[in-house]
Amino acid sequence: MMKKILFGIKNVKKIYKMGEVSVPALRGISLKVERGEFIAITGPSGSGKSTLMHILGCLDKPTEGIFYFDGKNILEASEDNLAEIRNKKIGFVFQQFNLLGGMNALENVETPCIYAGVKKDKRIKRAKELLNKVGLEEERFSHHPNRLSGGQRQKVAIARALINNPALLLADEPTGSLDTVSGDEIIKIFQNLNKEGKTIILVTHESYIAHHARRIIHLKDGLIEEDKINNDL
Amino acid sequence: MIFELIKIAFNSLKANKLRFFLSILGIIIGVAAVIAVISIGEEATYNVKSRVSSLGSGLIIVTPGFRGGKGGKVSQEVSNVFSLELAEEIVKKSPDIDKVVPSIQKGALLKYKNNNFQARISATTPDYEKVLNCPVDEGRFLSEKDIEEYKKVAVLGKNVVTELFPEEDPLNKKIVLQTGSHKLVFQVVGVLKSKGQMMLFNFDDQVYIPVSTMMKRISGEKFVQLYLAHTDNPDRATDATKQIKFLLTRKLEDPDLFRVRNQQEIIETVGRVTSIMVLMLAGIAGISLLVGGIGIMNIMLVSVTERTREIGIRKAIGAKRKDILIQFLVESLIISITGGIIGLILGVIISALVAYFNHWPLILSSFSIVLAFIFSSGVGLIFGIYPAMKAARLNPVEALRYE
Repeated sequence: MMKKILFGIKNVKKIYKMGEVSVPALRGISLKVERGEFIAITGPSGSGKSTLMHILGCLDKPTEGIFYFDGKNILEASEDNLAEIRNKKIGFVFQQFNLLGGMNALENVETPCIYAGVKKDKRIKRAKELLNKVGLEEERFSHHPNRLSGGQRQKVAIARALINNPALLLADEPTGSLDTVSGDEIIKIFQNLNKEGKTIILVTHESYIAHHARRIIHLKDGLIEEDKINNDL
Repeated sequence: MIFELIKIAFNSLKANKLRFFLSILGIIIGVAAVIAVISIGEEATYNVKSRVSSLGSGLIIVTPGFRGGKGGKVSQEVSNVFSLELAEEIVKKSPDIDKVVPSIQKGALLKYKNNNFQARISATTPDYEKVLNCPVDEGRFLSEKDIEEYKKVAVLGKNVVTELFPEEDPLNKKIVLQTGSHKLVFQVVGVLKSKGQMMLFNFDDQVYIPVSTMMKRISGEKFVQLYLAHTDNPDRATDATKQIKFLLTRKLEDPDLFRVRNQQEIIETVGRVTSIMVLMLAGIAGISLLVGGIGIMNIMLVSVTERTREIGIRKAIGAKRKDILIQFLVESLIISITGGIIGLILGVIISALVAYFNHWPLILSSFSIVLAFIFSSGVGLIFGIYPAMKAARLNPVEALRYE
């Protein structure tokens, strides 16, 4: 039986040391996220959004606090454990798409499967399914990222994030580099994925985008200022 | 999985072909140099050894020793011990020596009509032909009668013939031989087959005259410069050498007055000298391989820095340290092994060309090939590890932020 709670953090702090000076980016954040939630994390720049996302995405460890992800103690996990969690349980979508330039769309989507050790025919099949699902035209599967538009690139990135069927989809300003039309399209994809039960966390500073989420967490100066259910939907 | 990582490495090398070429260049040059140097060295050694062997087997060379330069006296070559009588005594008393050929070497200017040639005179006896294995091409070699009667007859080497008689048959022609204040007319009685160069001694530049003629009419001395002894059983060369040493020591009462070397010893000495040379040159070539390795390291470090963001992305989507490490290590291995293979081919071509133009046999030692190959992949591994570890250790957050 799957637990309802996907992860929980308690009093998490992140302090960057720059020479003699210590800069606290997160000053004590507690949060519980259940499976199937659609959360937007907002806040002005410098509020700690990105740092929080890096920690939730297991790219970085908190300086102190408690963090359990899917039953695993992240503070005690080794770097390879974290890599495995990122590979199998978390899918990232970035503002700058972060596709690998030397590969075509299909190969980009496949890459996490390579690190997971999935066999070639199986991962190609799954990559094609996902690209179809996010709505990338079939003839563009073999295109390299530099021949795709921003919206198309972000679709490829979403398909890549989904390939290992992660428990959590983490998106950092996914519409930040897109025009409104493609941005809306991407948001639509996220909403559909959430309807299918995928847990999604969206980091954004645009309140317009944040209002598509069902729960909005507002950060300020490394602390949660507001954590509310979005009743506007 | 490993196959996929190799494919990734290949793809990233394909993306920058010029850089790939430049980085394999160092390895190509290094490996080609090592293989060519070793192979050419072995060809040259083989060549020298076979020339020494072509002197005929069972040759023992007896040369003067040096008197120690004591007090105000300068060390000098002993010149007054090797008499013709002593030579005959050696043949008589040593059971394993069947012939001893005395020899006097001297430079001389030869003239025939308008042609002249600076040749080397070898004053010797008829046995020289057999002991040094120099068959006659035309006419005859020196005879016992020539020796007894101090005849002014000469047998010419091939180069002497081409220089003095470009268009004529040399047999029975009269040539003028000029050495020091002497100027004598000799009759050509024979021409030897070409034998070529043996280290500093070129058989084809020689003029052979009777040793008695030389001693009586030219040098006026009672001693010859050296003996060429011969044993008809080459297996007993060591014993024969000992017999000569024993005899001479007893006769001259001073082992420093002479030196006795047999052919085997000469071949071994030559072999030792050339292998030291080859080792030295191969060492220098090896250094270029090392420089090539440093080149790879340099390129890989640049590549890691340039691809920091790619590494960050790969880590974000689940690449472990070892995945990144293998990817970059495989890249440097591909560079060094490709360079190694091309260098190997190039090295073989170079040694084949050198062998071809020198009319030597092509000798490729499998040892040098294996060594160069192992060394080049080792270079890729050693100089690739640091950059690859640097890549693997990158912090994913910082790597993702890298522009």
